[in-house]
Amino acid sequence: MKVFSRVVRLRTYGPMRFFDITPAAAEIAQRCSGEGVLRVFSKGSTSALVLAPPGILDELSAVLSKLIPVEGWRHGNAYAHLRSVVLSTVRYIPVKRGRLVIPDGYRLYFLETRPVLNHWREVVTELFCSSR
Amino acid sequence: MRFARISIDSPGYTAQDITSAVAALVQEQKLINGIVTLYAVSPRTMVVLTEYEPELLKDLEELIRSLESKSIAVAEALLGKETSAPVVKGSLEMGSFKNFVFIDLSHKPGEKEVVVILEGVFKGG
Repeated sequence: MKVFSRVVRLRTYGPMRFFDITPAAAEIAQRCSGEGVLRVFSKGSTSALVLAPPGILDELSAVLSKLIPVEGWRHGNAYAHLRSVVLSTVRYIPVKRGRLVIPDGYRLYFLETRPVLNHWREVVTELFCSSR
Repeated sequence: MRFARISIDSPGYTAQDITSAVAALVQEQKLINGIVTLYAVSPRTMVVLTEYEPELLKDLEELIRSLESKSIAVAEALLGKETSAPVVKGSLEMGSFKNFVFIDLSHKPGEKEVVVILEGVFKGG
């Protein structure tokens, strides 16, 4: 089993903006010609990683806003942390012959929950690969 | 791949930061590059990644209570029983304000267990 690690940096803005990081993930997956798994981890505690088709993002935002509203908490940006906890900052994606194994039309998104501008974020990826 | 366990003496309804116990395991097992995966074995317990800050924990508790009012299993399903983090150059690479937090909603005091799976490249093979 080989391990390959790479940090992906991206510049975000928010609140509640989804950034498609599928191309970066797909590029890393190309390093595994056999079978493996790509683990994607977002370092911030207010971000989230979402694997979904683009068409449901507005609905997902609406559901989150209802479940975890912006106001009414003690901690300053609690809503951002709590949305991050519920959605998770970790994703595992199988890799086969250099390609991500995800359903057609699905994308991997980085969610910026906070109202920020030009915010640098880091996503740590690790590719575990068994050569064929 | 190596397995380890963390025992937590729980009052039955709690949230506890277990990051230092996980960091100690990473050092002890000499994991250089890879991942640690945590799984909360005991029923109605879970592990999440979040900032360990008293007010935020109260907010999390409030969210859990609102989910619990539907059922504890709903809270368990939404928060998740497992999580993981990368290890880079021998240290947990989680970014600031991020901790492994063990949550127990069982209302049953006693010793609870979190399994830790370490995967990757270990020093000395």
